[in-house]
This record gives sequence, C-alpha cells and structure tokens, in this order.
Amino acid sequence: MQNKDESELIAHSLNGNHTAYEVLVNRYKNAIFYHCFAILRDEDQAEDIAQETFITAYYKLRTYNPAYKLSTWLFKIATNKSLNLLKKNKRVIRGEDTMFDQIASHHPGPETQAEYTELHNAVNKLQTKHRVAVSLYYWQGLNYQEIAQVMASPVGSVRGWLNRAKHTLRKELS
Amino acid sequence: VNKLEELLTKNTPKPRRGLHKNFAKNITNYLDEHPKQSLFSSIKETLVMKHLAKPAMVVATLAILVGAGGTAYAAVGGWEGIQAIFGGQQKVNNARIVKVDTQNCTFINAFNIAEGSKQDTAYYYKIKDDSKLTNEQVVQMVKGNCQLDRGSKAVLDIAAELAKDPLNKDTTRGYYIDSEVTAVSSNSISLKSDIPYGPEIRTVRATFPVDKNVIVFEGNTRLALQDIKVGDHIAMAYRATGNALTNSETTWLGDIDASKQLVVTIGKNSKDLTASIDYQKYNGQEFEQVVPCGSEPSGYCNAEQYHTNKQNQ
Repeated sequence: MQNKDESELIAHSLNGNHTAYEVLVNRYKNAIFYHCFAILRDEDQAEDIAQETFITAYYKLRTYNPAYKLSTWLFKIATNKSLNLLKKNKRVIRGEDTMFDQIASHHPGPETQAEYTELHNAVNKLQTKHRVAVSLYYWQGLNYQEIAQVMASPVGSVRGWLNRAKHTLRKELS
Repeated sequence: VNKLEELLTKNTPKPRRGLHKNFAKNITNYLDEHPKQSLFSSIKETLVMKHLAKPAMVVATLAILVGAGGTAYAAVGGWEGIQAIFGGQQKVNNARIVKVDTQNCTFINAFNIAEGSKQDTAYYYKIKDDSKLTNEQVVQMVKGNCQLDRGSKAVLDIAAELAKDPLNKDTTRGYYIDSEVTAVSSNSISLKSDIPYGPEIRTVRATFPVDKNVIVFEGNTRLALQDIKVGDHIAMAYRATGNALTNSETTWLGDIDASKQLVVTIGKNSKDLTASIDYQKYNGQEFEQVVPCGSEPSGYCNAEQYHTNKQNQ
C-alpha cells in the first residue's frame, strides 16, 4: 500500500479503505502538524487541528478536486481550522517561548540563538495572513499559485503579503 | 537570496515534541467507529462570506446597486476612462518586451506603481519566445486587470452597503463576477463562471433563484431582467439565509448551494474584464512583468525583484 500512487490511494479511500487513507495521513501528517504549529504556536492545539484536518478531509474527500495537489487541499483545510481556532481563542496565544526555545536549541552560539529568537519574535508579530503565507512559502515549500489556492486569494495578493511580511521583518530586525 | 530569506528558509519552527506515535491509526480508528455518521452533524458549520475574497470577484459596470427594498447600496463607477494601448515591442534574449501604455488604470498588483498613486503609466511585459500570447492579448489582459482592480474596490464598497441594509440582516451576502449566462427565466438564472486559481481555471456552473424585484443595470442604464440574454456576461449580488454555503473549511469556490442564493442585483459586464483571467493564468508561466533597469544586459529587470530590492535599500 505504501508505494501506491496518490490518486489510487484516494480512490481506495473513497471506497472506504481506511488502510489506504492511513498511508495518506502518514505521508502528510508532519507537514500539516508543523504548519498548524507555525500558526497556533502550541503543540497540543496543533496536533488536535491536524487530526481534525485529516478527519474532515476524509469526510469531504469526494469534494476534493484532483486537479490540485492533495497537500494543497489539506493545507487549505488546516489553515482555515487553525485560523478559526485563533479567532475563538481570544486569549493571549500560548507557547511563544516554547517555540523560540526549540528553535534556539538547534543553534549553538548565544549570538546565533539570540538572532533566531529575534527572528521568530518578529514573525509572531506579523499579521496572521502574512504569517500563514510565510509558513506556507518558506517552511512548507508551496509556490505562489498553491498559496493562492490555500488562501483563496489572487496570486498578486500572496506576493504582496510576502513582500510586506519581509518588509516588516526587516524593519523589526534592523 | 538575501539573509532574511536564508534565515527563514533554514528555520522551520519545530514543535518540542512530535505527533503521537499512533496519530494516523487513531484517525482511522475514529473513521472505523463512525462509518456513516457525518462528522459535520456534530460540528456547527460556520458560514463565512469567503466569496468576497475570491480573485475573480469584481462587480463590473454597476452604476448604482439598489436592493429589493429600494435601498441604494453603493455608487460604483463604470469603466469609463480606462485605456490600454500597445506601446511597442523590443526583442531580447529568448523573449520580447511588450510595452503597454495605460490611462486611468490603478493597477494595484503591479509593481511599477508607487503606492498606487500614478494612474497613467506604462507597463512592460517579457513574453517568452515559445509563448503563443499575442501583443493584442497582452494589451487586453492589462486592460482587463485595470477593470478588475477598479471593480475590486467597488466590491468592498458594495459589501459594506449590503451589510447595512435591514433586508440583509442575518443573511449571507456575496457576489459572482463576470459569469456567463447559460439560461435565464423570470425567476431563475444559470451561470457559468471561470475562476482562476493561479494558473488553473476552474469552471463553476450553478442555477440561482432571482428575486422578483431584482435590479438590473448596464453601465448607468436601468434594464429589465428580460434584457439579459444567454451569452451575456454579468456580475450579480445575492443574499441568502440558512446554509447557503457549505462548510467554509473545505469549500472550494463552487461547492455551494446555489438554490439558496437569491439574486438581488445584476449588472451587465464589460467583455474586456474576462481577459484578466488570462493575466492570472499566464503570469509567471508565459510572461512576467518587468521594469526598465540598468543592471541587466537586456535593460529590463523582473518588476517584483526590482521593487523588493528598492524597498530594501
């Protein structure tokens, strides 16, 4: 089952084959989890949303348009679920320090550590949609067109968000 | 790649822990236990006016939108004054540069307009040699985009007005832009819409009920519904109650219950607007926007990169 083509796995999944769907989940679970974490900055919430994403996707699989990448569709679901949760969570976002600590731990020198902490502090200050675009572009490797699909916006807007995000980050870091 | 981009690329924020080791298994176990029950029977679906943010959604040529109750929704300018003409071409390596001169075009997504302040300007496009795009197509794409951007602003104005109308309290409101009429009667209209998602074009077809007091316009002229014919291109605004959209978390544009979207206004579109779809379809694939610059041997730089660099200086 592991080596089956994605479209075949989707077809099997649509026929109720949960083993096929499990292969798809395993294929994309980390990317979705990391993306949710980048938006929510909380491991538990990110895992919950990742799980909801795959369950939602399964029940809505018949509406998936194979003209697009499955991963793009999953990112779309995960992004919307994460943003909805952020809206519900009117409280202060948890986990900021957690993320910085983890990022910093990959970099040995204190100067470098400070630099990375500063970078992600700045990222967290971005407007939510700019942060989502940064996550999809720099961390998940989607191109402008794919991000436009995920965020249901014109390619020009995506380009603008990323430009403005970079501009803001440069100002914050300067 | 500058330092910031390098920093971002190399530093994906990683959670302190990974997913539960049975993450995938837990999901399929859940699916095994809930083979028939729809997940959405237990999750309240949120209706969101996501339609308003869609790329091709522009209200075109609507002079004034008036609701069934006679409420004026918004004053919207037509296409008067927007011009785009071929300004010449130049051969460069493996491509040609096409210049398009425009007037009254606030082309907000273009990179060679400073803060959208200049309205009369020239745009340059580098067309690959293997592209079949003609100069006329390029000009039409630019003109269509000028109209698209003017209409985008109009949508925001109309959205605000629709929301204020008591008739629309507690309803869903939205727009369809530049759809082709495939059938029309006194109480329903069928539309076909080509929606660009980057280079992909999705075609959506749906039939909508039409309000008996529907307001129909072409430019500044009031029309009757009977004046709308099969093959016309129109923009329309609707209101709806109940589950007019499917769950917003998974909805691609077009996954809607059109039968619950009551058409309250219709505007006949400029035919030129449809060319803007080609712009989104081919941008980055067969052409790119460029600006004259001295740093490249060809004399033209990628517009986006040029302006990014300029911002960074």
